[in-house]
Amino acid sequence: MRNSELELAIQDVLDGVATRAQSDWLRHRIATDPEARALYDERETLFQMLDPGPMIEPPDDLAPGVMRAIGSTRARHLDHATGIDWVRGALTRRPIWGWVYGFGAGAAIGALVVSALSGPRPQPGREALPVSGTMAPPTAIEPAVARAQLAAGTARATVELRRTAGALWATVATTADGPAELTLEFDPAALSAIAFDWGQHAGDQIEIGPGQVRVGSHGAADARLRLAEGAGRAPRVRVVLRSGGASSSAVAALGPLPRESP
Amino acid sequence: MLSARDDAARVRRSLEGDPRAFEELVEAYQKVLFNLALRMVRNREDAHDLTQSVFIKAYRSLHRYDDRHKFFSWIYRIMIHESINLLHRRRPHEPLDERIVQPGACPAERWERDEMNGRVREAVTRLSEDHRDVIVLRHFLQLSHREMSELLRVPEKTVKSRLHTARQRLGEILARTGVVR
Repeated sequence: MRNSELELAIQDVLDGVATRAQSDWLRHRIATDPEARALYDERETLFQMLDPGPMIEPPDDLAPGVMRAIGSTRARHLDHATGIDWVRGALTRRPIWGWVYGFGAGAAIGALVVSALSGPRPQPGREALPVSGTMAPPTAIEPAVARAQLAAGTARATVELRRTAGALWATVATTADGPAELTLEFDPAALSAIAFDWGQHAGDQIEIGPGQVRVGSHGAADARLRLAEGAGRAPRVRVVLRSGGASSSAVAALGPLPRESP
Repeated sequence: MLSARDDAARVRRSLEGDPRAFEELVEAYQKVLFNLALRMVRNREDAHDLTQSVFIKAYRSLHRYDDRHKFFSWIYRIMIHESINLLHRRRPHEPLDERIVQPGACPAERWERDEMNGRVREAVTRLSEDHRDVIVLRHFLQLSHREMSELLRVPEKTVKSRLHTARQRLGEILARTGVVR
């Protein structure tokens, strides 16, 4: 029977905290008792399996990415404004844009193009356009499983969805003469945002919450968002672009995560 | 790591609107948290994303941080919670990061080692919170008993006793799954 004294001595020795007396006692014990030797070998294997090796340096872009997000979140907290309020606030602060958007709003375009690997080409202006639920298996360069181009006021946005193992990637790019807001809405049970990073052009703010990611920008902005997919779910992502009092939207209805080949 | 007093001061400054204060916390803890994430999820890209996400969550919940405790013990809990969530969401055969896989081994050995590492990590997540904490802190982050005692706010004797029990439990779980005999 394995006694606790033996267990204690083995772990202390392997942990490097044993006293000299403990080490001597254990050495004698494992030399004379095959069961003690077997337990020692078992624990030694466990320690080896738990050894993670040396720590490595984190990627260079980790801290800057956090700070960009923090800066945006901070601005968001200070404003205490919703997305629409934020756009309205920007218009108030810059009356010239109100004048521009006055014209722009009348001619606001809700253009929608959602394409997938297969399936009919969607008609512009439709509120919800399903995309083919059949996804190609992941390849080295992932093709977009859905793509939407939106226009609202002076703003233009392209949203692409890609799938890799266990994750859905959304890349968004917006341009606007003034403030614009792009929102991705989804079922929080099917998708959860786990990370994002600005691309070459950082926007003004990003707000990530359950079932929603909101990107605020002024001018050009691009970002990459990573969403984890819930098992067995067929996620839908609704994309809404708002700018200058106009808005347009698209919906990508994706199929369940494809099964892996054996 | 920073002292608890340094942590508290930085959190206070951060809550007062000084972005540099939070940046200092990120700089101080990014390496240990990234490595913790890496050891939990065993994929460099996931670890990167997870670490970013944990810092952002921590920043948003900063007003809930109790400055009587170390900042690391608080953010560490967020990281453990998030990494376990990610592991549960992940498919069973996620490809592992090449940099974590030890070089030099033949494909069969690498596969076997990856498989074993995955099972060990899975076994760790099945331990009780107290036992998981001591295993992660001691083995994954290589903290001393004293550092663990300060972080967990329990006597060193308790740390040691928990470690002994945790390793026994882990050994039992791994034996049941055929990783060790």
